[in-house]
Amino acid sequence: MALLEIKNLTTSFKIEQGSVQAVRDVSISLEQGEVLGIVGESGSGKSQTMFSLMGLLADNGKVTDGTIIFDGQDISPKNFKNKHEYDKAMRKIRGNTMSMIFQDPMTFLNQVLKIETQLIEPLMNHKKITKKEARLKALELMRKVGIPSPEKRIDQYPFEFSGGMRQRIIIAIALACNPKLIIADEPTTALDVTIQAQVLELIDSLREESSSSIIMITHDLGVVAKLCDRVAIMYGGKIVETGTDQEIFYDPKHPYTKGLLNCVANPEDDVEEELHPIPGSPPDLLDPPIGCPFVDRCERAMRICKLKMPDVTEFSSTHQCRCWLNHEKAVK
Amino acid sequence: MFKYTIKRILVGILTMFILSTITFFMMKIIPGNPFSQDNKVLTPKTYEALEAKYGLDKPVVEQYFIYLNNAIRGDFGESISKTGQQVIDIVIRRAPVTARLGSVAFVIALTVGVTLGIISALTKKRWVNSLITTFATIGVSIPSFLLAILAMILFGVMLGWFPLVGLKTPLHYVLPAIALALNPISMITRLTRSSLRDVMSKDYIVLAKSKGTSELWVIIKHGLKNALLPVVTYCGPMFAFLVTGSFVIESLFSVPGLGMEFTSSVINRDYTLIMGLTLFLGAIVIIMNIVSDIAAAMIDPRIKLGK
Ligand SMILES: Nc1ncnc2c1ncn2[C@@H]1O[C@H](COP(=O)(O)OP(=O)(O)OP(=O)(O)O)[C@@H](O)[C@H]1O
Ligand code: SF4
Ligand SMILES: [Mg+2]
Repeated sequence: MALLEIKNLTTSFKIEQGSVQAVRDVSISLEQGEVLGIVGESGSGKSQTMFSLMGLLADNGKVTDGTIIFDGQDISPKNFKNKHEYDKAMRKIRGNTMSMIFQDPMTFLNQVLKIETQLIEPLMNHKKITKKEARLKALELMRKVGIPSPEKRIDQYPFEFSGGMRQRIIIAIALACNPKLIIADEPTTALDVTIQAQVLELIDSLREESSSSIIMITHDLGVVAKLCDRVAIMYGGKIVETGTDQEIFYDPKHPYTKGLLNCVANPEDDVEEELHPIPGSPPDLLDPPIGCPFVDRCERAMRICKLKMPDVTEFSSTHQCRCWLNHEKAVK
Repeated sequence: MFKYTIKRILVGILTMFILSTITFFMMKIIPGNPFSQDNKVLTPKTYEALEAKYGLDKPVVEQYFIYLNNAIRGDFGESISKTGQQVIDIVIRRAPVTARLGSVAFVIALTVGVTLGIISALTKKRWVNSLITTFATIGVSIPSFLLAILAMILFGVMLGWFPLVGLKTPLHYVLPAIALALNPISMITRLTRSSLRDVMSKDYIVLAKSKGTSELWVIIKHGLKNALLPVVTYCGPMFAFLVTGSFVIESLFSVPGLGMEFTSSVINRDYTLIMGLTLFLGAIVIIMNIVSDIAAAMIDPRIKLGK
């Protein structure tokens, strides 16, 4: 049985102008030990999908539909009587069997609390251990993520650490209880290029020595090629294509995936991964198109694309794509 | 931290020096002196003798240096209107009264203000929030003496629940302390509310929640320490506000404290007393500011460790 099974997840945010449909009908499944990459440009809903999963949405956000089965337990918000019950259940999971590594090490650590306090917190929450034991465990974690002289560093504050070192602390926090699933939300985006490589190296080595599953959110297809077993491509709040890394890199089916790959293949672009690879801008999620979200930017768009959401086409048990081009009646 | 403290103290001393200089010369610029009010009664001879006694016949600059020199040694001279009484003795006699009233008001302001601020920042019930916000807005915009008078009429005169004159029993403190605290309560409520709101939307709160920490713990451990920083910084100015704000309140409730003394010293043009009180109150304001800044610095490790 899969470790994680998300089906038809839909999340929206209430704002003054209406409701932002950030996550639209997203399904993801993940086996134990598997590494899944989620790729897509800014605003495509990657983070909010993960926040929905962790139950960490902002106050104005709500999961309106879908089911989430994690580790054999149904943790869909709708499965609980009220928010209180849901939170109670999620508190036992967060930081314990499911944890998250965040994007910006500068803002995600609490500036007025010592590293020790922040590092032992998940241990104190979930394990029956004393503070002393937790400190020892924290030191061990710091060693594991490559922080030199942890005995001294553990009593320091975040501002005494460099960006790369802070991200290692955040990774250590996520690893503390040996979770079954680690979600890494663009863990290197905010770091210098050289540090990025080191942190990725760290994640890669952790992946090899633990049995945790990882969901890796990134803009960088290079990261996907290095770390991931499977990839999901997100666009406009939807997963438009998913497959093994082989299938995605060598046999992409969706015009958006192809566009992304083209952008990387272009040697002039190797510095600017964030550049919009394809001309145009993503759809307005306040009023998302009823048809294919990519239609305004797609070179091969057809009439039906604007009118109707493309169905899922299965190319293999792992490779799926949402695009009318793959419909049997489409002109090939 | 040590360097920070030393720096703050040096700046404080400099401020005191500037304050004393300004008050001294302002006093000199204002026409008339304590004896000019009723100088028809005084013969020119007595007038000169009095001027000589208080050193008012010397050149202004010389007077200034004599004054500074004495002040440093704690000698602020003799009160002019209350002959035979040292200014310093008057201050020492009156200060505890003001300090007691101020401290009661301070504690009320801090506890009520922070509590209301936290409630209004975290409540999901809209009416609770509106109620507190409205209260805070009223408290900030209405001057404390007006509230004091209203409270006196309502609770003192009409209902007769609380005594109105002096500070003899704990019951005597209720009305003046609340009247004094109302404005700071509103300020602290607003400060706590906006600061905690801001903090609770920060990234590190999300990370704290992602560890499985309970909502309440996240607020207490990760939220409040950050959110109360501006409140702690405000405590110094607030104390200053309570002491200076007590001028009117003390007069209204006939509380024999520094404020009442100050009012009468101004009416009597009691130079030495005015100067002494100004410097004393100035010193309190400056010291309280330093204390609250250092307290805030101790919470914030970035300052504590000298960054
Ligand atoms: N609290 C919120 N209120 C309203 N809209 C929100 C809120 N949080 C996120 N959104 C919107 O949801 C959409 C998806 O955001 P999300 O953070 O998931 O993007 P992302 O794919 O992670 O992008 P990035 O690569 O920039 O991190 C965006 O359009 C964003 O503006
Ligand atoms: S469905 Fe149509 S618009 Fe969308 S990607 Fe396919 S061809 Fe392009
Ligand atoms: Mg994101």
